[in-house]
Amino acid sequence: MTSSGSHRVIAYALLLCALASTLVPLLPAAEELPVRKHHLVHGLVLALSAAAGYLFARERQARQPHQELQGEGWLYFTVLMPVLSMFLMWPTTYDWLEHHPLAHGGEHLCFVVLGFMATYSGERYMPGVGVMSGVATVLSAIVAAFGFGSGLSV
Amino acid sequence: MLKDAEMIAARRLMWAYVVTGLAVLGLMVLAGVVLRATQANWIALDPGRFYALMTLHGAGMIVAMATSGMGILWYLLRHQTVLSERIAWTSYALIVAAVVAVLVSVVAGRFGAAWTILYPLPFVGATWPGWATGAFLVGYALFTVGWLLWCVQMLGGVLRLYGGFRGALGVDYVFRPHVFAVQKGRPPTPISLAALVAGVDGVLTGVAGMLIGTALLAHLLDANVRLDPLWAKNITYFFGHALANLTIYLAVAAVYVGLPYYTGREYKSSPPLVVAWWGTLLFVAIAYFHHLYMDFVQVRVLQYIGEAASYLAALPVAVVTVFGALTLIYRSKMRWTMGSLFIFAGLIGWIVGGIGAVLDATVPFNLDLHNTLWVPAHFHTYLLEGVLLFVIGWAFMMLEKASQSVTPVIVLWLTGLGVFGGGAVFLMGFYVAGALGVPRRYAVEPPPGPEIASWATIGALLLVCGLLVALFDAVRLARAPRAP
Repeated sequence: MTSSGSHRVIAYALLLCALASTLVPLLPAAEELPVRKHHLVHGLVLALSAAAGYLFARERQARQPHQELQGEGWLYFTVLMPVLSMFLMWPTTYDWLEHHPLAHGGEHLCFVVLGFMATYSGERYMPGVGVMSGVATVLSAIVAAFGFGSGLSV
Repeated sequence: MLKDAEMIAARRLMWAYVVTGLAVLGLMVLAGVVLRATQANWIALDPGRFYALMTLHGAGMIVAMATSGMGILWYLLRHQTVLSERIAWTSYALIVAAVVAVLVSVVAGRFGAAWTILYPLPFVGATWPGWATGAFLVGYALFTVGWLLWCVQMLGGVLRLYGGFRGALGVDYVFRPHVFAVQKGRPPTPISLAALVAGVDGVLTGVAGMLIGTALLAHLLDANVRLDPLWAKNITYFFGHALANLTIYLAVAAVYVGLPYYTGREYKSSPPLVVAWWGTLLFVAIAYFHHLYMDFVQVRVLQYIGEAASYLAALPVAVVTVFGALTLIYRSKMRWTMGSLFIFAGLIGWIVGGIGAVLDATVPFNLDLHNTLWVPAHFHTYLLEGVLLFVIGWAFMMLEKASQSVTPVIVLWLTGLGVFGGGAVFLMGFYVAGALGVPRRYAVEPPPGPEIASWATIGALLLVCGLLVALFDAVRLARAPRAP
């Protein structure tokens, strides 16, 4: 298998794993998570989908190396994806989502789309930018786990 | 090489950023004079209005400095690679909208939790309505999105120019110089390095800003959303410290272009310069821990990292950029005009303010200086007498180039006496009061605060006079016949 082909297989595998997370809340055995763990799970979903987005973009670039890569629209997506993902990390919605599995799965699907697009659009705009965008998106979820939704009530 | 139409468009955009930044900054200087005069008991301003004005002053200054620097660096990088004007204008529009939102919050709503909006301050014992907090946070969000757009564009521009991070960072240039020379590689320029640092650290800073902004907004809309105060402080200062620091590195591009113009010498890339910028890339992101020395619950190792990074952050500045600038000037028969004077004086302000910062970042000193007027002393030095002077120097350089006219010596002296002399008196007020333990961010200060604030206010008024003289001369240059 060529390098490009193996990238594609890995990309599909990562994307499938990320998409599988949308089904987890629907399972009867799904357990309720504290806010911190919930943020971390989102970080994992974002990481998987971001990695898939990166590989898809690179694979596309390998197939069409001479294509003009820059495009303003991609830049707006690159910036807005991490921003939107933060609004999805609203901690007090987690309780409600735990009791509404379909909505919960939908929320995870949103994270998959946002993580994927953060890196894919960044790489489409300019190779290297997607990496930064993806890292920033995943980091924001991980960092959120340590204080967004936990701590003092004032 | 830009075509004429591209050059005109790029220049228009640069001036929009620079003039907007300087206009906001001018208003914030006047606000600052009022604050100092209030502390001197010259005028009576009720505390609520004082803290609102202080909040506006802090937020406005940072945004103004950043905006000016963004315009300069964008313009300089545009000469090296393709950048979208539409994106830059979108970013500009978002920043202007952010300024309006903050103005509404502070002027109409009297929001007064300081520009750092440190949790839980905006929500505990607030004397302003909730919508004012919301408007302020929306303003921050608008600025952050505008900032992120700009940073990503700059990052993309540098990566396009050098074919990726490896080239942009100059890895081969530093570690494999012979291979690099044989392959006729292109070393990173000082401008591209500044743009790279702004792009990478700017994205991290912007995302942190959005995270804390979202968290605060969530708490505002739903009080059940709890935040960990130490977590909030870490994110807030990561965002605030890095943003304030980056304003310097945006404007320092003016030095890299301005000094060669006035000395007739080239500011060359060199491996030490590249390595120095690697250091800046790292230390801008991790030096902020020095803001949390007093937080006993902070993980101790982070305090050590903060102190070490604060010291190390000074090396690239002092040893490479400023020393490099001095070697450029030495025996160069540099032309001393308004532009070169401001740029050179800005280097002094940067170094002096940097020394004040490193002192404050030293734990034993910080025990005494923390939250005293020493803090505004050091950041006013490198922002007011550093970044601002770089920006004004840049503006004068462009005007002098376009008009082929220079400023009369008497005007140079008047400006110098006002901006540097008055500025020094103004800043000494902060330093002396800080060393004597006068606390910062108080409408009413204990003795000897008011007495020191009195002569500091005189210095500030002299500074304003100097800036006005410079403004009149800038208008004269702008109206002078164009050079052929």
